[in-house]
Amino acid sequence: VEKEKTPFKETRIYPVVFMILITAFFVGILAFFYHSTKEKVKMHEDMTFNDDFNKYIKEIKTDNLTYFEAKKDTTLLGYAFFIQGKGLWGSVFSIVSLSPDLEKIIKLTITSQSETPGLGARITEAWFTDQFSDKIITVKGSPVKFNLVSENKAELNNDEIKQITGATLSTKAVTDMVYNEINRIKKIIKVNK
Amino acid sequence: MSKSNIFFEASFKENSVWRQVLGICSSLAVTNLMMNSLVMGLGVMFSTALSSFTISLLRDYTPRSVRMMVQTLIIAAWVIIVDLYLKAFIPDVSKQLGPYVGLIITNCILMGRAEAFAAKNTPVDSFVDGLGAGFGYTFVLLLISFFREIFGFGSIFGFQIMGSWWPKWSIMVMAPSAFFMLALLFWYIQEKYYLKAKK
Repeated sequence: VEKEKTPFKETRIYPVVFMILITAFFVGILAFFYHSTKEKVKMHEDMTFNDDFNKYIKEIKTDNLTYFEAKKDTTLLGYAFFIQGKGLWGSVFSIVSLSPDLEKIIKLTITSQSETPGLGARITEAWFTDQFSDKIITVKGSPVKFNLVSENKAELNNDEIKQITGATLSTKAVTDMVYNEINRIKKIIKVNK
Repeated sequence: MSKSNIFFEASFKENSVWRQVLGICSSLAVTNLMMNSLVMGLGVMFSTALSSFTISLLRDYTPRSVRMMVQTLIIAAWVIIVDLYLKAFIPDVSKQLGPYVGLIITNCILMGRAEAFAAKNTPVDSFVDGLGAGFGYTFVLLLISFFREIFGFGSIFGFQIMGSWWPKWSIMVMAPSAFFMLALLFWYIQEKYYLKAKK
């Protein structure tokens, strides 16, 4: 009796071959798409430095810290540091700039975060990060720990930060990050007073 | 069934959210701002339509035993393409939505439409069905976020509508309000269109 030949589609090997081929096909498409958008994506993620930047800013690398020094002619304007901390859903990355004596925050910018859109993600909004500007970070030799106050409070003391309503944990993540990282930085760099 | 019938059926009559109770997680998560809802909705609309189309195109060649794996693979590929597209061309929105775009992969609507429709129908019909399902989803998201944004922030699509006299209801920004709004919507629609028809 002649054995009937099973069509290839019903053999046991067919699903395996099919899966391998289709995976390769889609991975190929994705790789192509990734490559064609890579430049654009990178452009958005990179900070674009122009000539002014190089004129005033110098990158300094030490064993355990990389930071930037801003100088105009011979006057020291301040330092900037990459800092990071734990947010509610993932790491929060930011840049903080400090006065030359490391006693005052000049500005805080959140560069990357993965908090809840519309809630915790509001830590990137200017009204929130601007609160950190001009905060004095050491009072009578001990570092200042920020207290959170209501979003509606009009006047702020030096140790107060308006919290984002409904996103206490994300707000706290930022203040903790600033507190911890500045203390870490100050342990590493000693400035001449 | 005509194309417009398929679209209407998928978007309203058999709406994924209020009829099949799919895609609830994202309807709760991204609906506090209308802009986020719109982009999320469009993302789902495109990924559902395109993955339904592709799944339907391959339906005669796909062995039953690996059918789900193939569907997931196709969905994932399209979602990644949408994500990359947003990153490259609308970076601000992409930053706001963060991880949610990638999570479209696990949105039950896509898998639901793939199994329920695309596996049995022609590619073009499946495409229309996917568009419809995505449209219905976007519609629900915009409806919920309209109320949440206007009460929570006093604005619509970021434009301030209410003056400074408006006390912002912070509960509308937070997750609990999404549960309330979704439940109210379900209640209203069931009562008005489905339960009445039964009686």
